[in-house]
Amino acid sequence: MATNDIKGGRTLISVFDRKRFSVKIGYIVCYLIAIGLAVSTFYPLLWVFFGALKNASEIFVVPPTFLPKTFLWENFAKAWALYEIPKVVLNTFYVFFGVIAVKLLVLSSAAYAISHLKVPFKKTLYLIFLATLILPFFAYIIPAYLVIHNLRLIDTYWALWLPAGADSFSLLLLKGFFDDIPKDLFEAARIDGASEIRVLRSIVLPISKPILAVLAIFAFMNVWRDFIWQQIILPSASNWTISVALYWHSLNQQGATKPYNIQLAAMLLGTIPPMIVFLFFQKYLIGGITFSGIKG
Amino acid sequence: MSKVRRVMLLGMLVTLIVLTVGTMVWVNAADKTIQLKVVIGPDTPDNKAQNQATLERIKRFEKANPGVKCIPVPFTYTSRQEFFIKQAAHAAPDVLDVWATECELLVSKKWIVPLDSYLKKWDKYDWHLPNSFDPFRLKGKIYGVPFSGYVKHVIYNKQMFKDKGVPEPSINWTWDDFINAAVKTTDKEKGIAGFAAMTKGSEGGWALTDLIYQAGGEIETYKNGKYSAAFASPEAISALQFLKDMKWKYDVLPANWSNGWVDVYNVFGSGKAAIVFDADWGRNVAINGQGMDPKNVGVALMPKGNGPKGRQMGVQGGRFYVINAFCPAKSRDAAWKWLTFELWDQGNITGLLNEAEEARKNKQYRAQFEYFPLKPSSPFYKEWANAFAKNSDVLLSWGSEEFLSLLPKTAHTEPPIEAQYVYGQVLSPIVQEVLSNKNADPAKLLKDAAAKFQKDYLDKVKE
Amino acid sequence: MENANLKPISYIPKKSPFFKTRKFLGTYGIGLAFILPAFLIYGIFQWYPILYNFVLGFQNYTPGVPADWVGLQNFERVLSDSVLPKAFLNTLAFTGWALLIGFLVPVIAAIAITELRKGRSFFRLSIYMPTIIPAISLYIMWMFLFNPAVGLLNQILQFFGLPALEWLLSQKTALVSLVIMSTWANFGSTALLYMASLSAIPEEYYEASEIDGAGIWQRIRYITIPSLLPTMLLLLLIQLLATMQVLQEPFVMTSGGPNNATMTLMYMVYNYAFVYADFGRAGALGIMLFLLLLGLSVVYIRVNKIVQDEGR
Repeated sequence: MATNDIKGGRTLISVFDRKRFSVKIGYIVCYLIAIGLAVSTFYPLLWVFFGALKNASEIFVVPPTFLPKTFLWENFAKAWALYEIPKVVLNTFYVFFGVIAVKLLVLSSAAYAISHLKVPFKKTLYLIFLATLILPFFAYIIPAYLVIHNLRLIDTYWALWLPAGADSFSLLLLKGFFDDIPKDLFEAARIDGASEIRVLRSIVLPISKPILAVLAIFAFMNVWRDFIWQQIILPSASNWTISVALYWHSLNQQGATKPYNIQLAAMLLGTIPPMIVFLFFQKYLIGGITFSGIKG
Repeated sequence: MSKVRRVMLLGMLVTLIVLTVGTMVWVNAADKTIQLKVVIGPDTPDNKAQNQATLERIKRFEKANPGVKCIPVPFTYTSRQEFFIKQAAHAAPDVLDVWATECELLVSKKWIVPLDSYLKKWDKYDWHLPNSFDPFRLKGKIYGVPFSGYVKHVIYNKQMFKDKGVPEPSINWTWDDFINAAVKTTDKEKGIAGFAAMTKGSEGGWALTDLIYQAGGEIETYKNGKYSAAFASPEAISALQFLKDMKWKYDVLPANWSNGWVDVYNVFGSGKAAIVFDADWGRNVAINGQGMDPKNVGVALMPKGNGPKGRQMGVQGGRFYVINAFCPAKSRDAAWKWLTFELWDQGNITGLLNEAEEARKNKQYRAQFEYFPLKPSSPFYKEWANAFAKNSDVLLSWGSEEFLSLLPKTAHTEPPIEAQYVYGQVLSPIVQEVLSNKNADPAKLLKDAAAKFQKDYLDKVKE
Repeated sequence: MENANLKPISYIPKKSPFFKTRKFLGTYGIGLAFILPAFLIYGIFQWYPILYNFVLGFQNYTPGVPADWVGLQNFERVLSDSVLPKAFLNTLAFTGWALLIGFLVPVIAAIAITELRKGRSFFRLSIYMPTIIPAISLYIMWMFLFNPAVGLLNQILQFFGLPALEWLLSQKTALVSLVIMSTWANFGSTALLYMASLSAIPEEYYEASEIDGAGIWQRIRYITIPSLLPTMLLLLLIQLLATMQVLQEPFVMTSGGPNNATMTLMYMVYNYAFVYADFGRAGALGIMLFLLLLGLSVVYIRVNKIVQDEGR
């Protein structure tokens, strides 16, 4: 891992700088900040992990214990079965991949058109796209549900996939990225007779990998975070995602009769798969993403 | 140009597909069989037995009523949100079960239909306690059929009472006895609270009404065709003061006092509270969720409030079956048949046996308090008691005969107008105010809230 | 359209009535085809529902029943709601705190971590961690952390000899507690964007300025910050819009309490609609929120332009 880190080249502080005392201090401060942040993010997870191993009443013991007195590994097995972890995690990934596919298809072509093609009333259209950012989803959840219902998409993943194509934040990022791609890069291809679809597919998208990775992360976060809409759209438990399952078993009055240690175990089990995926994707997230602010 | 055409073609194709999908929506399959949307629970592992029972009941129903087809809809009325959204799409079940507080809202929105014509012909109508229909009686019509009820009462941790040498609640205990017991069982060192109250969300208001009734107060009163907000009375103020004292004077509430319905029973079940109020189902969280030993769960009537008007009282509520107004007229008879199918009969019994079986399999208990809206003389009781006795290893029951006979006398129905609003928006913030602000003035809080509620809501009620 | 209009009307050949259309499509066809899917998706799943909601604001609507028009009545009823001022102030306070804390933390984290020579990928992972936790887990975990009796935060305070806090229970700290939680939950994803922008700064800039004798602070001032500026300005707006619409956190963690201390505008919209079935009122408040955010965005973009123009 360490070798991987050095290849990043120079940054703000140069090798020469680091010989100076005050800079050394600053460098140490950077480390302290990083360590502080790491502790703040890992510690609660450790707490969840140990909480999951405790016996149900130990979680509330005063003064609280950090290390469990008992190691009830079977809590994980119970949570695994009760929350149907394999099924809901697979469902969640299924939702996620569909969401990514739709976003890629719909938003990249739209962003490309806005950025590099002739479109009538381009600016106005773009602003109308962006305007959806300022209306909270809950304000129009009923009409949104009616649309899904009338399209007969209730209890199908299409109800999550298709609306994912209307994502102005991603559109904004993509368009900003596309704007910065030098025009001559695809002019040459156009002269060679490549169609626009081809230009988009074999020139624009490959160099956009970093921004696409960012979109993927945001999409991932949305799929993992949203539960209110998913819960309404997916009534059948066989379709539930991890969010809906956690909601049902932990917060819903009818379902929430699960001991806290089981709940904590399920929470952890729901976090591990994305963690693995992230470790995997790490290398795509390093590298030159640039995008500019809002233009116009 | 050919590329342009290809792209155009693609675009048209997409439009075409969208249009076809769009029109498909409007084409309704004309069907002669009557379709009935019925409720089923979500298909989770811990719900399997219950759903299986529902599916079997559907099969029996369809066999007994040829030409009727039941479509199970996964649905619960635990939050109104899901119902509202489904109702907008006419996708909510045709027969559904709702809380006792919902009558006024559902009727005012014209979402449910009166059932009087059916009730008149129903042989089991007479089995019910006459007042059990009250929460769903509005302007001379009955809109719902009660199928399970509760009268809130006290549940307490027997072991804790024993450990601290506190006598168990007597049948006619008072607020003084109650607070004594709470103070003695409180153990701050161990993080044990004498009493855990519901304070979060609309439960906070719901729980306060118990105390107000005990003090002799009311929430809404009806006189000469006019409703008035009654929760600024001296009795109500003393009730709120009592709750405030629990925190600031006696300090018997949990350090983390902000608890909703589930939280309270988790706290109780994990041995961090000695006394809580429960309706029917909370102990299930404590026993099956937190693994509390059912032998440690004692029941008592609500304590009697202080003052001349003090009485032993708890909220009476429950669940009612209603028929959705969007159920097409031709299906209503079938809906009624489904509503009453096996009710107070094989339906309940097989349901109970299924639950017993499931509990045995999972090494759990069926931990629920039963309070049927039926007259003691109704034949159903005998059957129920038989089934109960045969499965006493997993079916839990509570209370002495004296307790059971007195419990109905402590019942107080919920406010008829905007009960959920009163709980959630009017009383709950007040509860949170007195618990988070030592200097809060209960009298002023209640007076302001009552005046506002009167003006904004009750004055607008048309008879 | 412009091009087509330039031609005198007599120019349209009679044999091809579609000449104008064809000309239009020749110019714009590809662009339109590319934008069509997004147009359809936005139209069906966002614009239509949003417009529908605007209509609701002027109606007395009961789900499933035809609605009737009530003019501005819903707006009046929203404005006369005594919770509104509190919710408005709470929303502003939440946004203010969230921007104050939630805007700076990711920038600092990104700069600090980018400077590290060792363990960079570990730290990068560590700050993503919160973003991949399912929301419910996040809320339940933080409710435990905030628990005044057994919670971690009070243990930390006590460790440093500080008085314990009531966190979500006190009207004074409940809102800030939610801000702390949502900052923790969200800073990873924004820090990621900053890190990406940082690593895109050409090395030569730093080299050159170092040769010119610029110190570290000067380099931050004249190279790092200006390079991050576009990203910062964009995210500031996005965060502003997102935090103004906060709902899920108070919804799960405090139910808007204690005594409406965490009641937000969005939560009011939710309550109107899904607790009291007053969809007209929910629509009206939705419109008001929309106008407020629209105004803020316009002001922001104007200011943004001035700032950027001056920067040049």
